[in-house]
Amino acid sequence: MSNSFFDNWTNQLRKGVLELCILNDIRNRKMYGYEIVRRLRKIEGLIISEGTIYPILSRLKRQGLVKTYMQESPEGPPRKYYKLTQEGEDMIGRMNTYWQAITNQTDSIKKGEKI
Amino acid sequence: MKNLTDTAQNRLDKYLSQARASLHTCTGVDADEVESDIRAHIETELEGIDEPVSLNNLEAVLDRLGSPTQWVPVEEISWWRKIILRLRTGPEDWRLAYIAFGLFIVSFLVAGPPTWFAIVVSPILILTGTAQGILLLASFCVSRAALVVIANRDELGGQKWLIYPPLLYIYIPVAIVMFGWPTLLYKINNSVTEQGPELGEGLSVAVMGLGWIVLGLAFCIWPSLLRTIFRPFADKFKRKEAVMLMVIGLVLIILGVGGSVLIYFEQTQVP
Repeated sequence: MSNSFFDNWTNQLRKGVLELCILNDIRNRKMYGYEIVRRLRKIEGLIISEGTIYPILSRLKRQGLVKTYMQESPEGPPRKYYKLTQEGEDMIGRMNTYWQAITNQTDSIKKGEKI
Repeated sequence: MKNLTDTAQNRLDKYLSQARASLHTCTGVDADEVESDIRAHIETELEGIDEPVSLNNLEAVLDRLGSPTQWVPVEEISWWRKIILRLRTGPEDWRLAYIAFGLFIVSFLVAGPPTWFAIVVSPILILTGTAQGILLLASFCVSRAALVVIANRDELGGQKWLIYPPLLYIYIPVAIVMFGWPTLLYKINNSVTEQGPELGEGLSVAVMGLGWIVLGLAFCIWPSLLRTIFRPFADKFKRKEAVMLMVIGLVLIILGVGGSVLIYFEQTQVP
């Protein structure tokens, strides 16, 4: 019972956090898909299956938050790089502000402080 | 793409085909693009591995990628795909609910339009072992099994639209027979007594009242009996309702016997 509750809770939390991490990662520098996966897999518990990242990237692209372009790679075939659009920049700004407010207030509640 | 052993190539083909099937039902993503990303991912992961790549090496990569069915968020899966997924992978309460409703619909298709509204004959269909009867019984049993799986009745959400029709199709005629058998018998066998139909009607009402008292007494002693028979509709049935049933039964007896006596004296009165 407690395990299923925890699994359900982490599943719900993971989805939103994953999108936040992907957009922040791309915001800082241009990245290709595999590179994003490789970086995010280092965050324990964030990615259950690495394949999840690609549909999210595709959805973000359809929603106009990221764009892609091909670039030659010295190590093999050309790679598809992801970059934030202006709309994506605005969105991640709003998302980060929201996230910061939520985490700050959650921490206050955890510490028993007044909000 | 790197050279793979035959078994590894077969495994990869199967995996990509699963990914395609899963992604094509998802409205929010470009399935072809994701497939090409997955191919590029696998190729990058296999870099540095000797060719032909073995099944074990490929499996390690596919394990990290995970099952394609996990990639698509539930809210982006089309309704028909959700049904198939629920039938294949559960949860069990939904799987049983879909099976119950499926059997119920098939029973109607088998029977044809003339019997669609013949709700009162469903027990006869079952007892006589017709194809529709067997399907109805199966549908009813699966619905009851779904109720067992959903231990907490408050969690009975959308499943009720799937399991209530097969249950009601059986419960309604069972309730009619259980509570109204004297009147039913009277209507069926309308030859009645030598004293005429009015006297017979009064007596049938009185017998029905007596039946209700017996039922009320039984349900008063074992309230779980009715709850079990008509689950989940009688889940809140309590002893006070059983007492109410007995009181109504008593009133029916008084009315039935009183009416019959009056009719008897009217008919036997010498002009």
